[in-house]
Amino acid sequence: MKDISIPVVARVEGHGGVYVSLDENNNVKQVEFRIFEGSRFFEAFLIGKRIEYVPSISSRICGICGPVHAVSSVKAIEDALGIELPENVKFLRKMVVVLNTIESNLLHIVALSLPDYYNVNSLIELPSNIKSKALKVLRLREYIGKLLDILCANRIHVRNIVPGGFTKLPLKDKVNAILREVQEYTKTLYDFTDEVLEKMLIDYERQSHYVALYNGREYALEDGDLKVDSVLQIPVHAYRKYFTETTINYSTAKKSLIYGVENYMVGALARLNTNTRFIRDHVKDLIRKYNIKIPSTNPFLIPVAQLLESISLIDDVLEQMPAAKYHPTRTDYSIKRGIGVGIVEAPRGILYHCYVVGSNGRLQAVDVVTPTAQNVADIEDSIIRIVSANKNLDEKHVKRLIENIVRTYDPCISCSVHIVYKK
Amino acid sequence: MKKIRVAQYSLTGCEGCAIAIINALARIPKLLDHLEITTSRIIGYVEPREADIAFVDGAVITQHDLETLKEIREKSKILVAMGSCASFGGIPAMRDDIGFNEAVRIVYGSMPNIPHTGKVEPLDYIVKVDYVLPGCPPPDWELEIFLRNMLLEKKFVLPDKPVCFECRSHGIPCLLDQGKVCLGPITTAGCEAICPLYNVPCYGCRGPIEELRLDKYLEALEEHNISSDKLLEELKIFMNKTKPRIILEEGGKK
Repeated sequence: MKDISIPVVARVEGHGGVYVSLDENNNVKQVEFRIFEGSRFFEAFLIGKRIEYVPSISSRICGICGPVHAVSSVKAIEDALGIELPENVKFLRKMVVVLNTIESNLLHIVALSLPDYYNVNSLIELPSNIKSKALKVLRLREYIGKLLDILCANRIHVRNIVPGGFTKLPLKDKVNAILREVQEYTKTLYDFTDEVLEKMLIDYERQSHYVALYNGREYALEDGDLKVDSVLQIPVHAYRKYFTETTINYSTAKKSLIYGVENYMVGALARLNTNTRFIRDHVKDLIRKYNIKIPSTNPFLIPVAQLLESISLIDDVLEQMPAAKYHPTRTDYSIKRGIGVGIVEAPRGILYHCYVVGSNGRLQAVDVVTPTAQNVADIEDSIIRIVSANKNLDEKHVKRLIENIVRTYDPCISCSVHIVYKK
Repeated sequence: MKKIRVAQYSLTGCEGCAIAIINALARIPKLLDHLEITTSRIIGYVEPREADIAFVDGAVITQHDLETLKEIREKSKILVAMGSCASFGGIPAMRDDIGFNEAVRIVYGSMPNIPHTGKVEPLDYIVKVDYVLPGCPPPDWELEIFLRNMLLEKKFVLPDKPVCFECRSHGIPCLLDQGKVCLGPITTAGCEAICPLYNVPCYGCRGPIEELRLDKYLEALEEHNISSDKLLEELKIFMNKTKPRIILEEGGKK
């Protein structure tokens, strides 16, 4: 077999390809997950910006997880200024992250991953019974999106998140009306799960390190410490002591390593491994029924983890949101110089924003690390093992496997680019 | 009825506009009966192919963007610039104030081996653009109206009035009166004033209106004691490469 080149991986967000070079015995010499998405240089042009503009601009880093970028961004500012938020604002911020996670998970499962289980190129080509169930899940996703629209003015790029809270919040009745639609459509997700979950279970083992937020109270998405392999607990402010980045010449994203040497995984599977006990009982029943081993070392189970956590999180939303309070919308604060960190679980895993805020209320330094940038080394490691284990297959099959493993990680390339360590 | 062949491309950007198209298809699944998706990386078809309408989001930033855009133009009957980046540069154009080399120095130290053009350009700097759907992202309803018009072989035109009209029709209190720099008076309507509705000033993500009356706007700002420096700062979010900023800065130099 000659070297393997996949110039563009389809059904991922952003421009990325894979290049594998092999020796004469088909052993892998090198794997490059090449990200050639252009650089927009957010961390350069955010410098000097007034803090009230920053969350809204940060949302524009990503069209899939914009709301989560805004929350991570505003948390960094609030941490720098020592702003203590009202409880209802904290809760609604958490809901923004939860809703964005569900929305993004459902899109990945249905439109990006699902075609792989049926060996077709696109959602459009799925068998008709599967396609109709999948489209209904997109309908549920639409209502989740509507909740975000009303909570944050726009589901793709939020407008009302500012230091101290929200500029304005919707009326409770309007939110509750959409919640009823979500409730109604939730059963479409159960139908879909019954139909598809078995097919999503692919046997494979590959040990890595798993990093997710943990707070011991709930399925942590926007508050907590970093937990590594469910053992080591790292406060968010120490992130940079444990996680390092290196520049690579074939990519506009950098590569993240833990302890300076080892690749690690962030995202739904790492979250489920870390926070299993906080998912809903009926989701635990599903795990038992389908005999899914959690904690799992199987990267092909990332979409399964996305599905399971989504079912559980939708229940949390339906249970907790009706009692939400929409006053006050924000708290006052005063400007001072400071450094702050905002870490949240974006749909694809740990998202880190760190800012220095100047006494003039403008950013002086910006450091952002996205989940996909952290997963790059893990994706490459998975490709090496997949190719090595399947040396005897023909090139077409190997290519297919490589694309499958890349897509299972749900890389978000727009996000990952140039979101790199600033010295 | 013959299906319309639609292609969707993302150059350098956040791909929120690609998601907006997927959302529209999920909202109105019937559209799929009338549209044939020929190209869309996110839907699963990577190769650029012949199409009746191509939606292109993102700005031209890499050499690859530049070449792809020219190929798209050759293969598409109607080319639509979707979103603020494609329409007039938008957010990524902020980088041009810093300069490419300085931005590289701040962010990477040394640049990875990915060829960049060194500039941030909207689509119409490179090729002929038939329609623009501006906004970050463009409003859902506008995309739906656009698709409907195309299916009916009707032209599509953007509203030729500023955001202020929509603010007033929704009874939203004027943000200029609260001393905020709101770009509503010079920004193309059609968004239903969603930002002022959420008590956020308009940052101009829809781009400037055709019939720009900057002098009148500057007078209004002066009446509200808002300095042109503050205005300039806000124009430097979305409207970096647009008339209002260019006029204001050239005026300042005189």
